[in-house]
Amino acid sequence: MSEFPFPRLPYLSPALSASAPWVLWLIGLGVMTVATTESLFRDVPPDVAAIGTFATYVTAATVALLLVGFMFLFALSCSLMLSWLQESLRPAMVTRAVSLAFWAMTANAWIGAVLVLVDPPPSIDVDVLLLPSSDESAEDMLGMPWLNELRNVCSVIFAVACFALLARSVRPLHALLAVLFASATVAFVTAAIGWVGDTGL
Amino acid sequence: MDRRLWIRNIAVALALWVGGATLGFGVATQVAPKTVEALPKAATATTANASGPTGRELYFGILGRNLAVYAWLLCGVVSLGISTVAVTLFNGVHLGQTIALAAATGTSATSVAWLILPHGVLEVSAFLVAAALGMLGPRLAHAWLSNDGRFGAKCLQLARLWPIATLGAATLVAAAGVETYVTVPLAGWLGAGR
Repeated sequence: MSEFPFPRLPYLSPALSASAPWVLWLIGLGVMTVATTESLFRDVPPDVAAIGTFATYVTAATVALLLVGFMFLFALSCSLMLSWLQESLRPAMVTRAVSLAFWAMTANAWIGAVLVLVDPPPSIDVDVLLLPSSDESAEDMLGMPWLNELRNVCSVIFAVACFALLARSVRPLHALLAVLFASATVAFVTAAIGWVGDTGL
Repeated sequence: MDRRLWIRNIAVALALWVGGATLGFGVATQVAPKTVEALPKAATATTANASGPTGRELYFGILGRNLAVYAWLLCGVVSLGISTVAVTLFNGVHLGQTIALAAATGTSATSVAWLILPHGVLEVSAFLVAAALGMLGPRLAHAWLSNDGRFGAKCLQLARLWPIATLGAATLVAAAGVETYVTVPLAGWLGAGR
C-alpha cells in the first residue's frame, strides 16, 4: 500500500490537499452568511439591523466552530471503531480521509451561497424575529426552506465519500462500520443535546 | 488533572467568557439605545401580555437549557476543545448583549446584578468547571494523533474526573431552582420582568 493512498490535488502536498476544503468552506460560509444577513435585514431599521447582523455573525461563527468540532468527533469515532476492528490505520490517515470528504460540506456552503445570491431571502419581519411561531422552523422563518435538504444531502455525500476514502486503506466492511458508527455517534450527541435543550428534559 | 492545569484551563475559559461578554456589551452598547426605540411596539406589548410558564415548567426549561450548554462544553473533550471555545465565547457575547440591552431600557446596574448574581454564581462556576474539562480535548487529540500508545491512559485519566463533572451538573440543578424560585419572583418585584 502506498504511503498516500488518498487522492490529492495536483501540485499540492497531502497536507495542503487536506486543508484546502476547510479554507474554501470557510470562505463559502462567509459569503453565504454575509449575503443572507444583508438580504434579511435590508428593510429593517438600521440600528435593529446592526444588532441583528452582529447576532447572526456570532451564531454563524459558533455553528461553524461546532461543525469543525463534530468533524473531529467523527474522525475520532471512525478511528476508535477501526482500532476495535483491529485495523492498523494511523489516526492521521483517518483525519486526512475526513478532511478530503469535507469537500461535500464545502460544496454545501458554496451551493448555499450561490442560491442566496441568485434568489435572496425576503427581508425579515422584526415581529417574527422577536416572537417566532413555534410551528415555524428556522429555515422557513429565514425564507430558505432548502437549507435543511441541502445540508442533509451534503452530509450523506460526506459519509459516502468518507467510506470510499477509508475503503482504500482498510477492508470495505470495516470502513462501512466505522463510518456508520461515527455518523451514529455524531447524530446521537447532537440529537441528545438538542433534545435536552429544547424539551427541558 | 493537576492543580496548575485546572487553574490554566479555568483562566482560559474565564478569559474567553469575559472577552465574549465585553465584545457583546461593546457592540450592543453602540446600538442598543436606538434599537430599543426602533423595536415595534406590538412585539413588546405582546411579550408583556403573554402568560408565563408555571414554576415547574420554568424550572425544567431552565434546567434543560443549562444542561445542554453544560454538555456542549464537555463535548470539547471529544471535539479538540472547539465546542468548548465556541460555546464559552457565545455565552459571553449573549450575556454582554443582555446586560447592554437591559441598561438601554433603563434597568439599573443594581437590579441587573440582583437578576444575574443569585443563580449566576452557581451557573457560571459549573460552566467554568465544564469548560476546564472540555479544554482537555486538545491534549486528548494530541495523544490520539501522535499514536504513541498513551491515548488509552489519557482516556482513563479523563474518566476519573467524572465526580467533578457530576458535581457540576448537580450545581446546575440547584442553580435552576434558584433562578426559578428566587430570580424570577425578584424580577417581578423589581419590575424588571417586563
